[in-house]
Amino acid sequence: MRNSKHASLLELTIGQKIMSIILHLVMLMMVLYCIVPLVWLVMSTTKTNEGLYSSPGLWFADDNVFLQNIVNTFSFQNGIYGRWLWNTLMYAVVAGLGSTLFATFAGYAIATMDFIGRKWLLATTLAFMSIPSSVITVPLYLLYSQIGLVGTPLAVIIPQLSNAFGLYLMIIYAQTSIPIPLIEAARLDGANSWTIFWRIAFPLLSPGFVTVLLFSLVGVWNNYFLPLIMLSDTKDYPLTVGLNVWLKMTSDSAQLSVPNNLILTGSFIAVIPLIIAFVFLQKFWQSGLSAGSVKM
Amino acid sequence: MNRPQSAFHRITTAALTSVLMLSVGACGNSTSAGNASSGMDIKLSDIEHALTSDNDVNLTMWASSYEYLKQSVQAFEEKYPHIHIDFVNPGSQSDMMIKFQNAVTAKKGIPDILQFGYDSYPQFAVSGSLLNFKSEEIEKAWASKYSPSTWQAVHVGQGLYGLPQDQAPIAMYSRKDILQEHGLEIPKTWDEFYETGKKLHEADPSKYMGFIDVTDSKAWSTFYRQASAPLWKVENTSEISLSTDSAQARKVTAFLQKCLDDGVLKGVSNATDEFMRDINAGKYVTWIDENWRGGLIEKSYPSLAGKYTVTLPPAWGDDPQSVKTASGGSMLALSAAIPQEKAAAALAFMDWLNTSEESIEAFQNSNGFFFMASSKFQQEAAKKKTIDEFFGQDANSVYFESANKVNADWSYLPFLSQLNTYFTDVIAPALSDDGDLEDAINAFQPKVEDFAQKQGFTVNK
Repeated sequence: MRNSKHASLLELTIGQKIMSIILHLVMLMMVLYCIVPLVWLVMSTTKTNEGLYSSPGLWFADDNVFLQNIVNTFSFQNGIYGRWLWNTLMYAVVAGLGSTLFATFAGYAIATMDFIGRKWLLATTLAFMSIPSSVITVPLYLLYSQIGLVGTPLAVIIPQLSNAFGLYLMIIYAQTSIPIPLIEAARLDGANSWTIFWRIAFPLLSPGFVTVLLFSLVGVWNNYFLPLIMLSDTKDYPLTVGLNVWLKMTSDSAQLSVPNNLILTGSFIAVIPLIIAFVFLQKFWQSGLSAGSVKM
Repeated sequence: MNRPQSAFHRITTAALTSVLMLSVGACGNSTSAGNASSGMDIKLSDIEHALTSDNDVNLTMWASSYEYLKQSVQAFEEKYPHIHIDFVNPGSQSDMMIKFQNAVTAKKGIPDILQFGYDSYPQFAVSGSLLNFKSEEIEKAWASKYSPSTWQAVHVGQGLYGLPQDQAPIAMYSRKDILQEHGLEIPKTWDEFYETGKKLHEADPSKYMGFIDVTDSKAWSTFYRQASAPLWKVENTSEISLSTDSAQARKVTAFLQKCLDDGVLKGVSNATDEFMRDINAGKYVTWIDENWRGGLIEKSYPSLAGKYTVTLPPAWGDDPQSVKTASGGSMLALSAAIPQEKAAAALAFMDWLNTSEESIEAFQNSNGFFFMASSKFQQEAAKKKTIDEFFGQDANSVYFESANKVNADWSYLPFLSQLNTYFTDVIAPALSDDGDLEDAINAFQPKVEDFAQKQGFTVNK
């Protein structure tokens, strides 16, 4: 009985057991490495400016002013933080969703259709993946300045609508997850390209879509250099650049203010939407939808 | 705070600085040879007329002290509705400089009026990005409106590039409780400072008398400014002199070396979490910095109330009365791209904002105490005696005394970003217990000289 019950499980050798323990220890250290800064951040949001420097970093200070910090963060400088949060959400949704849609359209087309310049497009995508975005930011600035878009939110959104990495991922994903015979079958049944994409290809592509969406949301959410260069008015800033304005106040004679506790509370609030996005989108993160749809 | 995205931040800053320097370099080469000439002849009568005429004028202004200027700007617009100010908050001073340089490079979206630090505008002045509006008439009418050292600080060589807004004289903040504990007094001369510091460090090796901020060249060069030992001088927009190895400068260098060797001073960055904790714990007994730092100390460490005393910084030599101080602050400048018909209105606005009674009042209302450069403000405010609760003394009178003793014989090199890069690379590492400061400065000067020559400056030694 016992043997048959565990027949499907493999017995580990001694060496494998030791390796397993070592691996778990390494993983534990990785977890600590990621968690400790977050714990520090959470602890810091409960402290006053002075409490930050008179209490241990990973534990509470004497007074807990968490709620007061939240209120102050949103009311400091006429509530500019709320404005930054809204800007960031707007940039992330428009640019993140937009770039993912474009990557999905293009990835699907390159993977399943045969057209002139297909190979060339693929090579260009690969080439663009190797260029760090900071390198093209300054030329982009000069370009957008000539069109007159500098200083407007469009200058932050439009460049981020192209996402070479996302496109490449979608090409690969479409190639492996969409069986060409399925599309041919749909076409024989009289469906046009648009219907085929939304009805047949998109459901198959959705795990890839969610992956790219998460990556680009995080990318846009955390982008610092582009908005810093493109925008000139703090009321258009996203959180990354805005919080940095507060950070520089501490040593800027023009500001006469030390909002360190607000910067930390602001950073903490800025993390939450991303965590929600991950938790919410995770359930779409499943593969194998197409299993059994085509008889080989 | 300890700069959360520090590595990334440093990389982008480095990238931005190099972009900035490249563009500044390009401009510097083309203009410094032909000198940044006064592009416009603006008459005083035009400036006065701009306020009374009914021609609509739209001006764009970028200023980092947005929160504190807002009320004054509003008051101006109410009084002179035909002059409309599009007032933009560009974020921090350093970000604004990058944005301005980018706009100048792109020749588009250039603001008309900008707020700079006295040390940060010269690089834009020599590159021809700022307007030199010097005229006999303006010098005569306006020089007396500002404290002499700030009026001097808006000149580069012979050119006039702005109007002084505020002044930030240095003071010394001392933890008198710690000194008393060890039976020590607040020093009045640098020699006393050294002796006191030596005793303190021997009694308690974890404590230092003071520190030298290694974030940028400001704190270090202030020692030389106070000692009347100029490290450099800007002769005009195409000529500078370097004197980091003059006899007087070497004396200061040797003194600093002595302090570093004997645990009196310590080189440290004043922008880290660790430093803020150290201040809280009283590791550095004195803090010599511009007067706004007093407000920051007060806001950062309310529980240290009553423990700090504000005095003038120590004097070089034996006579405390001969003390010379230094000062920072900010000014308003005009972009060189401003159209002639707007320039007079812009100057009228700047003059009103920095010296008019209404504006001074609005400043004080929005900020409690704003140390303006206007001589009228300084004379009146100096008479008022107000006890500062945190320090338990009239701190402002110390600041006013310091403002009167500023060593005005000082100029800022017109390539601050690059200077700070050389400082962090070469001098900052030597500001440690085992560094050799003189060697570092000997290595520093040729780098500055080489860079200045590549920019098209004539360099005297």
